[in-house]
Amino acid sequence: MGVSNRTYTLRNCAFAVDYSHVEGPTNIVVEDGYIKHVGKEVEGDELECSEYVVMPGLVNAHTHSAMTVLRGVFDDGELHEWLARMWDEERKLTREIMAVGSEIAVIEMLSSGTTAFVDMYFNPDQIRDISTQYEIRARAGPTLMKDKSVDETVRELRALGESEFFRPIVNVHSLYATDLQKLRELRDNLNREYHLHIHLSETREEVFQIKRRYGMFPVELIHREGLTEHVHGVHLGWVTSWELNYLRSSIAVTHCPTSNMKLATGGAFPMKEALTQGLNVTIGTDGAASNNSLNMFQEMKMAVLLQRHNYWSTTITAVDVFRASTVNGYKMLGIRGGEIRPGYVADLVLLGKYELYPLTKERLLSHLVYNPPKEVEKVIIQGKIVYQKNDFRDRLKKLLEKLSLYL
Amino acid sequence: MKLCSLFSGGKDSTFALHWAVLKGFKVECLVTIIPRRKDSWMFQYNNVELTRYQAEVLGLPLLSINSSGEKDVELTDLRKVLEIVKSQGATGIVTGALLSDYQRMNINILSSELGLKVYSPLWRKDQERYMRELVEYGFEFIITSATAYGFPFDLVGKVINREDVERILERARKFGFNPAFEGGEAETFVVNAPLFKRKLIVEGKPVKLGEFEWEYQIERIH
Repeated sequence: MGVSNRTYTLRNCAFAVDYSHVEGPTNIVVEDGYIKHVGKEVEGDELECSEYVVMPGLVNAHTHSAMTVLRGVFDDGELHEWLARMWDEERKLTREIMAVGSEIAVIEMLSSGTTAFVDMYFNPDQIRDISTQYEIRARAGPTLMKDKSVDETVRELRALGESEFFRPIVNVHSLYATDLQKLRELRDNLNREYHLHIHLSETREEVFQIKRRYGMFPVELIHREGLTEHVHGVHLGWVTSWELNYLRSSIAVTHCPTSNMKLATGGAFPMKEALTQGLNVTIGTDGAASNNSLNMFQEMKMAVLLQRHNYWSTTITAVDVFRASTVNGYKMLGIRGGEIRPGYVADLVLLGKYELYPLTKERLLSHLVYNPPKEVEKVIIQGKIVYQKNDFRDRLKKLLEKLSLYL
Repeated sequence: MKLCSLFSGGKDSTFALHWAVLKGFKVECLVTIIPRRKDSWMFQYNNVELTRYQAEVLGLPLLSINSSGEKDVELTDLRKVLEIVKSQGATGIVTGALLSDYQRMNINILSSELGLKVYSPLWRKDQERYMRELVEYGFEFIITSATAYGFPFDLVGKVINREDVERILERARKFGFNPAFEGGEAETFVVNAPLFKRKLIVEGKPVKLGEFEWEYQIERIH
């Protein structure tokens, strides 16, 4: 199934499924990177799709891709102890090894149906290059922390540039790892729209440290500083009800269930309340040192399960987390995507229909969240097939060899 | 893991205590804070001095501590309590917080400083469902005071049954008060629960204090 940039038709797909509807068998016509028709139409090259189920690509709304290098290095510390250890380990990382780590991550993400990710690490220029090379959508940028000046951060941000797949964002590690003065300076230096990606209200220690230091909780502080509309806040396990209200105008909030559980942060992301209040809820794996997988299918399942376990209620369903990982993710990126409808970007994942059984229209979405295939068959981004099962195996082997020399 | 329960004798802290026991925590003590002011921000006022009867039928030691009940001073009092809890070897506390961030976050801020974990099993749960389950699971409680406009005041002093719960829920929806009394719309006193060794018999009388304010004055418990 070779595909060019010409118009083509995925013909006779067993099912096309997004959060709001399932149909099949159906054709999907793709033109110039966008879905043109879903139904009976056939245009351009024809690609046999009868063995596949087609779904929108998944958006990993929060990760630290290079941390595949640190996978398994320290699994049993609570967040702040773990973080201190990570910062020690990270001081030893070279740029070369970070590039290896991020490339491994991109291969893992593509092969598990992720079509876009938001990254926070020390190598945004490498993310730009790797994402452009693999044609996966990525957002990354310099990370403002205590030891980095605002000038340097802004300079780095502006130097990053954009590609068809990459856009720079501003990363602020957290309110506790940054001075407020710096955050204000950064804000005043960025006078247009920007995407501010930040760990927010993740732990009890964080929220009370910020409360002691500034007399208010983290989201309240973000709000007071006029940053809410730029914020993409991650974790929010210790957010208060009144703060949730402030986040209605934020770009997105991201739930990382596995990481929260693994690091025993003890909070609870109030997903139902967040959705009810109209927040743009997304899902992320977090980095490979705190998950330790970058598989968004697993993360969707974890998200439902953790919500149900925390709140003793089945209110949050497979549809909610599928929607959070598709449409909401694309909304965060500012791209019309995440649905299989005319006019939406052709970021699609093809799954083997024989791995989703018993295969009925009614059960399909359940399978995707609760018992997905181990691997995806093909990934299409902006209309182009960028991954087919078993691609990059040799490349991955080489990267792992390089990594083993470093360990 | 050893825990102490912040215990007011009302339905929420009693339910939370049961949760902790069923979760496998070793509940070591009950802690009751007795505020001197009725309008305490943090603690229940009504009948909290009566938790000794519940402690007895639960077979748990009770730590009773007086607090001024003034907004900021009572946080200092709470801190003292938590220090005692910690000194007894508990690693955390269990609370009946439902939806008050003021309570939840203040308890957490102090516990965080002392390295105590806080478990609030009822946090953000569906409150109508919780009210129904309380009765179904065998928690028997009386309404000891009610101050919400629209509240069925004839229930004051009564052990609440299924029908009563439905009436409360219906009124809560109609008049806009919290169905589980999170905002202090009513206070409760538990007379029987799955872990009680026997039911407490409460004698008293309902008293109308104002047009929308009723209280059940407890005269005797045995």
